[in-house]
Amino acid sequence: MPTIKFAHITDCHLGSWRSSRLRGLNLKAFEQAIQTSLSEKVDFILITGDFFDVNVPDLDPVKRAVEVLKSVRDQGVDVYLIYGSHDFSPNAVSMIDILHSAGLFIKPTENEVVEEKLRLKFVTDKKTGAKIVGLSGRAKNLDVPYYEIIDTPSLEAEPGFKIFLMHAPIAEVTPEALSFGEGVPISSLPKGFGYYGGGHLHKRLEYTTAEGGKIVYPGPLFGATFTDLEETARGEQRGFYIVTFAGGKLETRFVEVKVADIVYKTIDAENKTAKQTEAQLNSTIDELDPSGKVVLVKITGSLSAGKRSDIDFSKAERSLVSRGVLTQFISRSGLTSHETAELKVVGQTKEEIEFRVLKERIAKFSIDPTVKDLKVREALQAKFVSTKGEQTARSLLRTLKIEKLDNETVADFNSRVMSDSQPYLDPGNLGES
Amino acid sequence: MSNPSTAGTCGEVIAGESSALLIRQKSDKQIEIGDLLVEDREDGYILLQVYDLMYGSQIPQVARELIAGMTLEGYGKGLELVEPNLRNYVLAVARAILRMTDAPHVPKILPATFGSVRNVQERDLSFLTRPVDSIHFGKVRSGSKILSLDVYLDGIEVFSHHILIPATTGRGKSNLVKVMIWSVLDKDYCGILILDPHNEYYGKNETLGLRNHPRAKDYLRYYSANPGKGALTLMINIRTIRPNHFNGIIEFSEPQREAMSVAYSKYKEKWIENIFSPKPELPNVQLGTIGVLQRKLGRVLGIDFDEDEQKVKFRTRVFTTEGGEATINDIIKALEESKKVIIDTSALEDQAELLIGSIVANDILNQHKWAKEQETLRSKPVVSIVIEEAPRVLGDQTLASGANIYSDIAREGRKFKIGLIAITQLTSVIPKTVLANMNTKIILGNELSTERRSIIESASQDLSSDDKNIASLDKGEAIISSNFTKFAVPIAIPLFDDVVKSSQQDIPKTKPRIVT
Repeated sequence: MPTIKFAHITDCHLGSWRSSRLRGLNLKAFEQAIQTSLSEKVDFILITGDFFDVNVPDLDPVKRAVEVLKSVRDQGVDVYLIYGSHDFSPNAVSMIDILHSAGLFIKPTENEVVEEKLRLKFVTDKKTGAKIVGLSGRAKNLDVPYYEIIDTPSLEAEPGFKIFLMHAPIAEVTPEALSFGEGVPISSLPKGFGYYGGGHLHKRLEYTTAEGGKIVYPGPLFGATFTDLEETARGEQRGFYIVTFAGGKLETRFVEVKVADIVYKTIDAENKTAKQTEAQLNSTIDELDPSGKVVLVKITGSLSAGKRSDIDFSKAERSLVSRGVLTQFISRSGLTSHETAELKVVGQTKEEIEFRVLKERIAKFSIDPTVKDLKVREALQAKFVSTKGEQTARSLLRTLKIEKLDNETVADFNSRVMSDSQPYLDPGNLGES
Repeated sequence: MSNPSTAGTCGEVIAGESSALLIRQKSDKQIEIGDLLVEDREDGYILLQVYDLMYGSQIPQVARELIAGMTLEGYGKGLELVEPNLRNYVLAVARAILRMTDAPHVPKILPATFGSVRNVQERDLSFLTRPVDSIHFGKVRSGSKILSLDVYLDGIEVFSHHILIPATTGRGKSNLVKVMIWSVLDKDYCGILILDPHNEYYGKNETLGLRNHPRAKDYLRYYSANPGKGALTLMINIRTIRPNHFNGIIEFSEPQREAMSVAYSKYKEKWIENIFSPKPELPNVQLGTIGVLQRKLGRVLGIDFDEDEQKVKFRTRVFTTEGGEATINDIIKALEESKKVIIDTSALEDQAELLIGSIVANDILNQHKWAKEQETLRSKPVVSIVIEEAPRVLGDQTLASGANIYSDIAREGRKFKIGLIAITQLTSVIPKTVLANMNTKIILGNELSTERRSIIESASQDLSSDDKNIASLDKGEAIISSNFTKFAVPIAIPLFDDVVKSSQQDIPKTKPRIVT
């Protein structure tokens, strides 16, 4: 068997970031990864989901992505891409579908259900003979149950060097901070594959299975959230993998993609006044050399006097801009004051805060003891108590958060919101989680 | 077994005292040890339970011996007793276990002399209702007769106040636990951790198990070192282990404990790796102590130091530094989501099994303590931990060297909605103080008199006269003695396989729709 060399890129999240500079950096990271892959003369490129950040992204990054993918195709390098949870909507046409229709990549996810088993069909790379197959990701880990019904014997019987692509966390190897208990067990993966390429986890990860297969999550190319950039600033390398299979041996090499220096500073405002915190912020900013860098500042703690609005954050931002900062973030979500004492939870991201607020509120809910009807109690228990209540609230909130699409009428949008919310509000559905 | 006879007198109370009432059996009826009998009264009834049987006769024993001899030796041709039913009979020894008036009470009166008694019927026990959050144990049993009356107890109370299941081998312990857990598997009020050293709860191949529950997909998690397809591989990252997790699991000397403490404060989560490094740097710790620690920890965790490669190697993939980082958290999260978690420890050594239980139990207890402080404990499910061969952690000898998380839970777990389901063949080696905290005992058959004595002494009801009753329990029969029952309830436990088969309904199968 000839040497097989390929690149594995994931979680590009093209189109993410409101800041045009960060959006540009993100795109640059993608271009750099592709360019390096081509320089390395890879036989093909794997992309394991979340290519775009949303199913219908802004057209600027789409245009650039199309140009890059087209140039890859024109150079005779095939791209094998599975969808990620951000890429598409099961109910509507997504941008990724259009790119696929244009033949810019190959989707190795063809399947059929035979006797309640999911039979996946290999795509054979015409240049190397590598057998590639995969499962696209879906929002809220809805793809995880599919792994239980994969017809693994048919995949395991296939000879040759095999690659399995997935956009789901593997339960046993997912780091604690990223684990939400919804992973795919290793035992659900088909055995005998040389390479299992993963996406979805925003952390680089390698693991060798008991049978010797390599599970690899490269992590995001650049990152799509403040937390991602924070991790990068703390030393988490971002990039992709170049993988070589020769003489029966598989070698993985991580290639770092660095498109900007990221500076990360924290300020502890606990028991400080607003003025003291502002002074510390300014002195911290003054000590930095922000030129050409991404600057992240996180302020946490409870102010002893004054309130957040007493702090002039714009002054610090102006200072950074005047000294050539690439882009800056001053995170103040963890900063509280007596005026905001009613806020009892602190989180790093809005999702985390939302999660904790719901958790706190729902923890105080219990079923009225006068409700004696067992069926009603069980139904309420299954829907509104404890973690089930949190799930219901989160699901409902998520549903209500959807935004009207550009070409959608108000009536269609209302109808979509109602239909998506219905399962969580329908009393007939009580008892289901 | 037959159905209980319907109404009709089966005997009369003739003598005795409150703890030993003598009942003459009606000649065409058959009273058994363990039978529940009822003496009806104007204001209700008294419930009696038979615990012994003997012969009664109007004919002096010498005369009976002579009659038997004549029959045996061929002199008794044509020999017949006049009105034999009146002259020879069975006497049952019973005690009053409950008095029912407007509500059930502890009996404080005797049944009437010559008060007639009858077999108990379902309607007599209508006070045995089904609590909202219940556990199902089986059906009420009277002797060997099974009543069509299910026995449910309040799951939150029973789980948090601990369950002891004492029995010798082959009496149906795992069948009972499977039946219990099956009944609560999809209930949101409880999470259960099952440390399964025989890998008998989940089910495999053709053997039925909890995986066959219709809601298993949503409510059951299974970890195994050798998982079948779809099961989770048991992998625990050693960086999630803290020194106190070994309390009561491995015996350490004071210097060894101090060395572990030094390692933990210096290297935090990498303390174990450091102990196994070629040149461990632990201030004020002697090399000899480190050597012993390496040996003791290495045995439990399966760690060796490879001299040739100069690096730590893991004999199994259960304890590891690659992966398994979230396993403990995932287990805790599952329990807090009222799931039932089975950990197949059949491939592990005893101490490794107990260590895993200790890690989970520590964390869950801490979480519940925190929740209590935050006044959110009420919304959390009760969590119960099934531990086989309980004396390994709750025995006299083990506890003599110090408390462990299991004994802590036995002592104070109920305050934090955490309980144990302790299974043992040797109740006698568990200290009385621990047994006293086990407020529900499900007593299965036991042929060892010392063990029966321990069980009886620690029961929630007075079972002082039930020695023979316990000894005569067949497989599938049990007595529930609990602070949460009005009397020690004799039960018949269904066969787990029958429970599974009867629950297998035709769930419509939908063709999976895969979105790619």
